Order: sequence, then structure tokens, then C-alpha cells
Amino acid sequence: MALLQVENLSVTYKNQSAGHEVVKRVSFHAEAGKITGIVGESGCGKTTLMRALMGLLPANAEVECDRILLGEKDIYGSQMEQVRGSQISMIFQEPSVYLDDALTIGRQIADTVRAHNKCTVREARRRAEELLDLVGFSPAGDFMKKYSFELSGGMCQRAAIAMALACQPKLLIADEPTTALDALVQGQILGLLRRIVKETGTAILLVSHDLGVIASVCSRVLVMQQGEIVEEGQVEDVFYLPEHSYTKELISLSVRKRHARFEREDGEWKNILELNHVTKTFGVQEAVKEVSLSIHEGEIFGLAGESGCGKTTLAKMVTGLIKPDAGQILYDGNEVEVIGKWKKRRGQAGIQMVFQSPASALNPALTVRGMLEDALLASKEARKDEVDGQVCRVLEQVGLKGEDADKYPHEFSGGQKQRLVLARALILRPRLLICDEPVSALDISIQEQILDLLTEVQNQTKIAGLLISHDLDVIKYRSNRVGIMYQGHLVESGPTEEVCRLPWHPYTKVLLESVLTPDPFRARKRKPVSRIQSKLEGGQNQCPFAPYCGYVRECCKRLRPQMYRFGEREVACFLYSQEQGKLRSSGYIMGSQI
Amino acid sequence: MRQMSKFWKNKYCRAGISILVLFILLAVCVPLVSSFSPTEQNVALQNLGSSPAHPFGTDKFGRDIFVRVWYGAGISLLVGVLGAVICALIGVCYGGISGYAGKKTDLILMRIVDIIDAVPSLLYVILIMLVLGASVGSVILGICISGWTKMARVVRGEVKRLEQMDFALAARLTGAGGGHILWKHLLPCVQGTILVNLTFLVPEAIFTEAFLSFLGVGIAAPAASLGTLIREAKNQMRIYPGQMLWPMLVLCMLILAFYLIAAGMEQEIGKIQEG
Repeated sequence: MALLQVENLSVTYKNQSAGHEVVKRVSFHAEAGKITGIVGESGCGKTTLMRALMGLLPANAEVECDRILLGEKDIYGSQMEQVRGSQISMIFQEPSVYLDDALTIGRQIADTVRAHNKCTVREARRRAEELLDLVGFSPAGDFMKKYSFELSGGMCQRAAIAMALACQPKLLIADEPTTALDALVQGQILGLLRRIVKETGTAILLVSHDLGVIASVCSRVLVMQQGEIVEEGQVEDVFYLPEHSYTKELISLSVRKRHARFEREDGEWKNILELNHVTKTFGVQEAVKEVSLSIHEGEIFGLAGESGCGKTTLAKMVTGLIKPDAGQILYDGNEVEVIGKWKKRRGQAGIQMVFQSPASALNPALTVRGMLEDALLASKEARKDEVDGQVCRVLEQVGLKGEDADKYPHEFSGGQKQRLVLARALILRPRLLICDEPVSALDISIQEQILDLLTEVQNQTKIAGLLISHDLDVIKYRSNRVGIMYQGHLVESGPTEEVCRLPWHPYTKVLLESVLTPDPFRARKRKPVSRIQSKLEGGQNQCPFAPYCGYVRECCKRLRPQMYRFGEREVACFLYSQEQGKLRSSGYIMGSQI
Repeated sequence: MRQMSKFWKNKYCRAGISILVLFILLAVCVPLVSSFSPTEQNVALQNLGSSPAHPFGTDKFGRDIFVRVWYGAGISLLVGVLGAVICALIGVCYGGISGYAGKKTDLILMRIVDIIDAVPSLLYVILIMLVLGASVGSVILGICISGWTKMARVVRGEVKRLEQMDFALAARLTGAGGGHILWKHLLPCVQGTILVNLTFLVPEAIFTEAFLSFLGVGIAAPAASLGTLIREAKNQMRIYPGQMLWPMLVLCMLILAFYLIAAGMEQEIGKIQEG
């Protein structure tokens, strides 16, 4: 028996002039004790549909529906207020935004408990502690007094889930609950959702754009496209035997394809960029610690690691936007000039950058032509009469038309905006292109297009690239060599193929395993990576990964491992140290120790 | 231009602009066309009521109030617009530099603003009027001395936010200098906010001028602004309330017109930013 039954639900946004139907006569059901996934690209109406169920839509939205059955009761219309919060609750994408900074999480959960149940403060507190324990805080009592800003993103999301469970809802709506989280933490949260369903018998509606997420936890799935449900069924049926063409397309896109890379010729490679023991600290926090790496001419170097591990700081130091505290950054043998705010920089137009969010990387007040011309003239790369031709050339190079030059950024879609960002970088004919998470703000179908474009441009121009991503899957088939960063340290580097096939550093292995595949059978078999919640006390002199490492030994807690080099591969782990080497014969070829 | 037509579509803007255009036309044409001079006294025409020849009547010196009101409105407009534009120019430049420079320069520049703000602004104006004498020029100077600080704060905040955006970083990467980034990349993004604030500054300046003239430290007789007219009519308020009513009404309408335009522009810019 289905717990939630929705029949012919439509949502129309009313503007002054016209109505815009976002959800079109959608019918579906969700079962108790099961997770039902809703998948679709951004703008397909997933979030609107969920908000309609909660009755949280803005005033200009008009909802039409035959009925919404929750259990036996029709909750459509006036009854919505009564069930919201008590029988249906919701968790959102960004937990740090909707947890109250001014109250401890224990207080917030206890307040929620008291809002729905008649009980004393003490009982509510005890219940809050139980809930925190349920979502994996241990010991829960210690976390009752914490504020949300003292917790990491993953822990905030756990607290938010605890709050949503406070009223023992029959239905929990989770709108992209793991999108803002790292792959490792994402695995934990998904594991938690699965456990909650099993233990409490709640039905969960899980909205996600990520097929991997859906495949790993859901039992049924609905595929949405432009406000309509185009396919629904058991996860296995939909993923293995998709019927609708849109579902097929989504699934084929989410499996990253092996891609022809630009292959270097063997022989001497000249380094275009060299980093020697580069360190940067912000206050007490170490963003980048003693990183040394080099990028050869004409290759793409991938840099992976979870968010906050110092990738972006590193990128900004390479461009000269931030000054490193210590160490050397050499571009073409010369130290990179730090760009002050007022001073014009002299050379170095050779290093350009593609930013993560195209929305903030384009000036809303400038036309495309204005932006590109300005870049050209500021760098004195071209004379005034050449400018027009250059603008057209570069727009065509990134797959746009010459006529687009007189439009404003807001007239373009997300993917086109990212093409414009690329155009601005390319118009200066750079020799090193830094791409900081170039696709993570885009839909999956557009991600592939942009990555293809980057590869194509690189093949044509033979420029070197630094491709930064939190998603190892993006880098896997798009780079020649890869570096793995963890908490500001470079822990492993080497040829991408080898590193991905056979990781040497324990963290690399964890990172590789955390990639979710859109294959229900394999995704479910994968064990969530267990990580200890609270940081161990360890001081400065320990391997940064030691608290979480399964191969940890005594020396890892006392000393910080240096980079050990074997041929093309480098790894910072004691498993590969000289000491260990003594036990090996002289002709030993180093392989993975894990 | 695209934005201008949007503003015209907004009903508040349209009402405000209509009133304003009408008042400007009257302020320019009436003193030119009318057969009465705004300053010449005529004993034969003292304290007349409204009539076809004198729509607003005449004052105690026999001057036509209709002509004097529109002549005064012209001066009020001149003071208001000129004062506001100068304030805006200083404020935008100062705030832009302060917001973009950051750190120490920002700290010093903003503390200077705090000091200027700490002294009541009317004090500056009155002191300047006493030293330089009462004239249009000194009123504008007085208004400008402290009137720009609000604009500077607004622009500084916006520039500080925009300066962290990726497009500003990208502009630095292309090799553009600081002044160029500020002028070509950052300030154009703030133009809407600047425009709205400028529109709010005009009625404030008009009001300050009228207030000063009413106190007797503003524009000196026989020249007249709306404030002066109200002050002159004050003495006979009980006998001839009409003499006070007309300049007050025009002053109110004038200020209202600017507030309407500003409110309408704020709405439209909000809509554009929301997308």
C-alpha cells in the first residue's frame, strides 16, 4: 500500500502577463520504508514539485491537483498546514543556511520536538539526544551544545536530518541532500538515509540530479523532464533497461567515456610550470602546505581532492592572484609575478583561468564584445584594428557565433556562459590554462560538452592545462598526469591512468572508491567509507591522513612523510619509505602496497 | 536606453517624470513669458487674491506669486540637481576607491567619512553661509560638504562585494590596472544603485535648501527659492494663507515627483536583478 499518492498535480507560475507551467499533471506514489528517487536536470521542476507537496511555494504559484493522499487522508488544500512538519518534513541542499547560527543544534532539535509533542523541556532534550545519536553523532551529549558553524558540512546535514526526524514524519523529502557535500561525506549521508528508512519505516523522496546517488539508495525512481514524469519504475528496470529516450541519454552521459587525449611525444619535456615547496596559510589554517609539482608543456595535469583541500588556493597562487607565504612558483623558469590590485602586470598573459561559476565570472554590465575587447586591449596583445577579427575567431573556437558578440551574459544559458569564460581566457592565446572546477556548476549533459570543448581546444593549440576538480571521474579520462591533494598536502602524483588503475596512497584509494556509479547493483555493493567523526588530536608532525587511514602505523603519528619518488610516480606515505625498502631486494619494482 | 524605456513603463516612474517635466517647463517658461517680473515691487497690487491675471495672487510687495513660485522652483531644482550630482560624483569616486583599495586605505578613508558624518550637516551649511554669504553657490557647497558620504558608503559596499567576484579576478589576469577595473568593470555593475541613490539625493538637497531659506540663512531676497517664499508668507499666514499654500504645494509636489521616480526605478532595478 502506497503511503503517498499524488494524482494529476500541476504547478503554474503566474507572471504579470503569462502563466508558466512548471509541473505538468504529475502522478506518482511513494511507499513506506522505501526511498523513492526523483531524477532530472536542473530546471525540470523537481524542486517545485517537492515544495508543492510541502505547501511552500511562493504566492505567484498556482497548484492544481486531483488529490494528494497521505495514508488514507487527502491532504490537498487546507489540511496542508496541519501535516507539514508533523507528518511531512524536508531537508534541503545547504544545511548551513537553514540551521540557525544563533542557537545550539540541541536546542533547535528540542524546540522542534516540543513544537509537535506535548512534553517537558527535559524530555525534549532527551529525545533530541536520541535523535542525534540516531544520525551518528557520538557521543551525542557533547554535540547538543554545538553551534552549526562549529560543525562541518556533513555534520550539519546530519543535524538537519535529526531535526527533520524530530516529529517522526511519515514522509521525508530530501532535496539534493548531498549535492553540497564531498564524495566521501556523501557516501555517509546516503548510508544514513538508508538506515533511517530501515529503522523508522519512514518513506523518503530523494531528489537528485546525480544518477549515482539514486542508484545507490533508491528502490524506485521517477525520471522528470520539463515538468513531466517520463519514466518510472524499479531502479533496476529503469537503469538497466531504460525505455524513454531521455532516460537513456541521461544514463549514457553519466558514465564518463574514455576519451582520446592529446598524447605527448616521448623524450625531453620542458616544464612550463614548476612549484617548489609552496605554502600558504590563512590565519592559523594551512591552505596549501609544501606542495611541489611540475606541469610539462602541452600536457593536462589534473588536480583532485575534496573541497577545502587547497586546490583553488593553489590555482590562485599559480596565476599570481595570491602571494605564496613560502616556496617558489616558476613559470617558464621565471618566478610568477604577483598581481597587485592597482599595478598593471607586465607579462604573463600566458597564464589564464577558467572559473567554477560562470554566473560570477562574467560581468553582467558588459557585452560579450566589450568583455573580449577589454581583455585584448588591457593585455596589449592586439592592435585596435585587429580586435574585431580576434573576437569572431575566438567565439567560433568555443562554438558560439559571431553575432553573439553584442549580447549580454544573461542572454546565454549556463553552458554557453562557460564557453564565454573560456573564450575570454583563450583570446589572449595563453600557454597555460587553469580550469578551476570548470563543470561542477553545470548539468551533466552540458558537462560533457564543455569537457569535450576543453579537450578539443587543447588538441588544437597544444597549450598546457591544470584541470582542477573534486570529482576524480572528471579528471580520469581528461588528463595526462594527476595530483591528489589532501588537506593542503599533495599526497600522490603520477600518470593518470596508472594512478586511477592502481592507487598507491590510501587516500587516493578512498577517493576513487567514493565515486558513485549509476549502476544499482554495483553502487549498492559498495561499502560506505567509514571515517571517524571527530578529528584526532594529532599535532603538526603527523601524516595528515593518519586519523582516517586503515594502514596507519606508529611512525605515521610521529612524522610527516616526505614524497617518495619511483619513476614517474610520487607518493607521500611511509608504506613506500626507505625503511620499508631495506626489506626489498635491489631489483624490486615498486608496486602498490595497499 | 533599454533601461530608460523600462522605467517609463513603471507607473510610479511615469507619474514622477510627468510631474517633473511639467514643473521644469513651467520653471523655465513662466519667468520668461510672463509680463510680471519676479522681483519688481508694485504697491498697487498688494496682497491680491487669485484671479486670471494673477493665478496665485500677489504678495505684500505686489509681486505676482505665480511668477515668483516658478522662478523659485527653478532655483530649488538647480540647487537640488546640481548639489546631488556633485555629491554623487564625489561619493562614487571616493567609495569606489575605498572599496577597491581595501585594508588600510579603506580603513583611513572610511574613518574620515565617519568624522564628517559625526558633525551635524546643517552646521556645515550654516557656517558656510555665514562665511561666504547667502547665494546659490554657497548653498550647493554647503550641501555637498557632507552630502556625499551616504553615496560613498553604498558604493564602497557594492564595490567591496563585486571586487571579490571572479570577473574582477579575470580582469586582473588580463593585465588591466586598478583604475581601469574600477571604472570599466565594477562601477557599471553598480550603476542602478547609484542612479537610485542619486534620485534620492535630489529631493534631500531641495529640502535642505528650502529649510535653510525658510530659516533665513539660504537664498537671500530679492532672489527667491520656494523656502524664501514660504518664509515671506509666514508673517501674514493667518490673513493670507494662500500666499503660503502655493509655494508649499509646489515644493511638496517637486519632492514627491523625485521620490516617485526613485521608488519606481528601485522596483525596476530589483526586477532586473532578480532576472
